[in-house]
Amino acid sequence: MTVRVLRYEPDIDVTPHAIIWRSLRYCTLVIRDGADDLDQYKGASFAIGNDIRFDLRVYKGHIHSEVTVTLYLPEDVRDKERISEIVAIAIKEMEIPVTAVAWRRGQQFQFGKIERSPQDRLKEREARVLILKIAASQPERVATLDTLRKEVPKFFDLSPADKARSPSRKNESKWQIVVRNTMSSHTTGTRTIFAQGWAKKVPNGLKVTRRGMDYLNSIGFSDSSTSDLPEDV
Amino acid sequence: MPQGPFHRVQNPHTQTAKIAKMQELSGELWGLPARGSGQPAVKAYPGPLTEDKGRGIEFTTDIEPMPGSSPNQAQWYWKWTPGVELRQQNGKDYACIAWTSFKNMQP
Repeated sequence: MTVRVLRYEPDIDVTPHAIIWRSLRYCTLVIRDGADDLDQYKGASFAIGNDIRFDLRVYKGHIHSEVTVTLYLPEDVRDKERISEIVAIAIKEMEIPVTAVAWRRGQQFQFGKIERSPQDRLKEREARVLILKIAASQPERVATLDTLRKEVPKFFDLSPADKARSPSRKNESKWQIVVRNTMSSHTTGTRTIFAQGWAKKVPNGLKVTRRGMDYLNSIGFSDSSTSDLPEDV
Repeated sequence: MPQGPFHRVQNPHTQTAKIAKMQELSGELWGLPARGSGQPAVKAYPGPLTEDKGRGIEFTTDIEPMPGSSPNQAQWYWKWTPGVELRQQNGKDYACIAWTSFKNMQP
């Protein structure tokens, strides 16, 4: 299924149903400013197929607003099972790991308290998509390893486990090793971003291909036209 | 049973200094329906208004927020939340809750 970015806000009230421990910038580049009776916010609207609409928003006063985003569904979606199903689909189709979900409808909560799962840290599977997103945000869609190392902490809230020193390379943190491995040429599995055709190697880094941009469009990260890009770059 | 504290942050449209003064004097908080919705609601952030949030108001209420609230957002919908009343002004419907304590930090 494809996650389409919608240009317009929903014409119905929305209700919060999940909080994801990822920044809005991590989820999408297509961010607009909005305001409602609560406050001002930054957000984006999405559709999956003909039936699913959802919004991601960060209000100015949300707790952990720099590193979390709240998923909203139209107010008329009230069936608990349907809510749970849509939240699961949205997260899966946006390639957000389940460990990133800090709260979802049905879970008990205390007002003002959100806790990140201790299991939530950067793993290679997520890092593949993350470095693709970062490279796509750079001029010419090119990122070197140095650029990725600078940018990853701006997109992803590194946990204490991510920042722990690597046992194999004492001068690097675990997340840096994950990024290095994701980029490295010895990673030759069929699921690498290079094997999938989403990126190609350039000196000291990678360049996102047209197929890679199509993929990022399909998960709601971007909605850029790729028709003017050559097939192989 | 007292609920809160909750807070609202100053903004140029729905939480101005003038609105804060009205809330303080009336003992009530009012909320409009969202765009495209027919259901007025009062919305607020949970917790106290901390310094980093800037200006705003902080309040408690005896009315429990509706179950559709979340850890980072409390809401009281007219019709769906027991205790919420309807107010009408200039042809518009507002949800209304009474506060039990109120701090106006929008001088």
